[in-house]
Amino acid sequence: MNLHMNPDPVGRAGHDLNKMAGDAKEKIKSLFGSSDAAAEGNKGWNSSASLAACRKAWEGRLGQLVDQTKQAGQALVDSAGAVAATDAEAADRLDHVLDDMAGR
Amino acid sequence: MVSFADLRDTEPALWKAAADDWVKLAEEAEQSANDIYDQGTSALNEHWTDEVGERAGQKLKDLANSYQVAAATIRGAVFTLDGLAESVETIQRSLESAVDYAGRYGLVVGADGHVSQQPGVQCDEDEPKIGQANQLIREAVESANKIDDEACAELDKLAAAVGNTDLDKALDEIQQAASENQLQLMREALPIGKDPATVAAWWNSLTPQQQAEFERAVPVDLYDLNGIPDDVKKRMEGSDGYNRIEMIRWAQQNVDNSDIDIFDNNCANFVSNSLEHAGLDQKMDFWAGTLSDDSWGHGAQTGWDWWDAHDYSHSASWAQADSQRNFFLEHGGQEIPAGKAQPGDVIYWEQAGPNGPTDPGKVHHEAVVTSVTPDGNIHYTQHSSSRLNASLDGRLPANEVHEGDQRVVVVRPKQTW
Repeated sequence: MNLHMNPDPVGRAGHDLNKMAGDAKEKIKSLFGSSDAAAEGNKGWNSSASLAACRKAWEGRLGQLVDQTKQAGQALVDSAGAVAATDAEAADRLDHVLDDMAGR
Repeated sequence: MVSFADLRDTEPALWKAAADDWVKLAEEAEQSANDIYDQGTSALNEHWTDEVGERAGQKLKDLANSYQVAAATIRGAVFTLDGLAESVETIQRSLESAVDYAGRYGLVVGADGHVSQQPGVQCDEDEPKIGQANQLIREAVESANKIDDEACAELDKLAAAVGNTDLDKALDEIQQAASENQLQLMREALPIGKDPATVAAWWNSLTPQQQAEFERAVPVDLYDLNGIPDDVKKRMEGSDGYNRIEMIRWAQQNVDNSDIDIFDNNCANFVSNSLEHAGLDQKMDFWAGTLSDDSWGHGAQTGWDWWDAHDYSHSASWAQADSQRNFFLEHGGQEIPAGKAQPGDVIYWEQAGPNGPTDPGKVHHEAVVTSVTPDGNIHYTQHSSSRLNASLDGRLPANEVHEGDQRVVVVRPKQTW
C-alpha cells in the first residue's frame, strides 16, 4: 500500500469533526421545541399535524447527518492513529478503517 | 377543518417562533457544510493525497452536500411557517373586525361564529347587518381554511423531501415551490374578486403596518384589487421614471418567455426589458450611441437573435450586470440597504470574496425584486436561469458555498435624463 498521509493534521481534522458533531446534537434537539409548541398551541389546524410530521422527519434526518459526521471524524482519527503507529499491523488496520469509512 | 373558534384563538406568534428556530436549524446545517469543507475536505486535500485519501475526501464532500440539501429544504419550512403566521394574522384581524361590527349593533356572535339578534329581540332592520356580519365571518373562516390547506400541503412536501440528496432539486424545485407558496399564502388573505366596498372595508380594517406588508409582499395582486384607494396605488407605482407595478408584472409574466434571451447570459437583459416595459426611457449618447458608458438602451432589432446579440446595438449597461449597476448609480439611482428593499428595485450580486465567477468588487448577476415578505425575505425574478419569486435568504447561503462571499446590492434606478 502506497501511503501519502500526514497523520497530525488529518487527526486534528477528525477531532474537529467529532467536536462539531457533539456540539450540534444538543443544539438541534433544542431548536425543535418551538415547533412542538406551535403544533400543540394551534390544534384546530391541519397544518399543525403537518408541522409535527415535518419536525419529526427533519429531526431524524439531521440526527442522521450528525451521526455520520461523528463517524467520519472518528474514522479520520483512527486512520491518522494507524499511520502514526507505524507498527507491523498498521497497514492492515488502516485498510479496515478505510473500508469502514467508505461504507463497505 | 379550521372553525370560527379555532381562528379566533389561534396564536400566529407560535408559528413565527417556530419559523425563527427553523432558520437557526438551516444556519446550523449551513455552518456544518462550511466546516466540513474548511476543516475536513481541505485538510485531506493537503495532507492525505493518495487514492484512499481522495476517497475519504469525497465522502466528506458528500456529507457536506447533504447538509446543504438539508439547509435548503429547511429554509422552505421557514417560508411556509412565516407565510402561515403572516397571512393568518391578517385573517384574524378581519374576523375581529366582523365581531366588532356585530357588537356595535348589539348583535350576538355565537360560539360557532353565527351572528343573530339578542334573545327575545325581533327587529327587521337588523337583518341586513346580521347578513353582513355573517358574511364577513364566513369569508374569514373560508380564507383560513384555504391558507391551512396550502400550508399543510407544503409542509407535507417538505417532510417527504427528507430523502432527497440532490442540491439542485432542493434549491430549484423544493425550496422554490415553498418560496412561491409563501406569497400564495399572503394572496389567500386578499379579498380577490370582491366588490370595491368590501375591498375598501378590508383595507381599512388593517393596521398601517399590515397595509405596508401587503404592499411589499404581493404588490401586483393588491394593486389590481378594485377598492384600494387611488393614493395608495399611486404610491405603489413610484415616482422614479418607471411604473414599479408594471415592472413587476412584466417580470412575473415573462419569467418563462425565452424569446427575449438573445445573449448567453440574460439576467441584465431581462431587468432592462422589465424597466423599459415599465416606462423607463432609453438614454443614448448622441455621438457614441450604444458604445458609450453614458448610454442605456438598444438600437433597432432585426429579430435574428445571433445578429442582435453581436451587432453592438445594445449598450453594455443594457446587457451586462456590472455596467448596468454602475450606469444606474451614476445617473440618479441610489443604493438601498437590503432591509429597505422594495418591489421594483433591482438586486445585484457583487463578488465579495475570492474564487468566484468574477473579480471582487464586480457584479456578476442581477434580478428584479418582485416581493419582500414581512419576515424581510427578498423574493426576486430573473432570467438565465428563469426563476419566479425566488428567495434571496434561501439561495444566498448555497451561492456563497460555491461562489465565495457575495455582497447583495439593491439599487433603486431613477430616470434623470
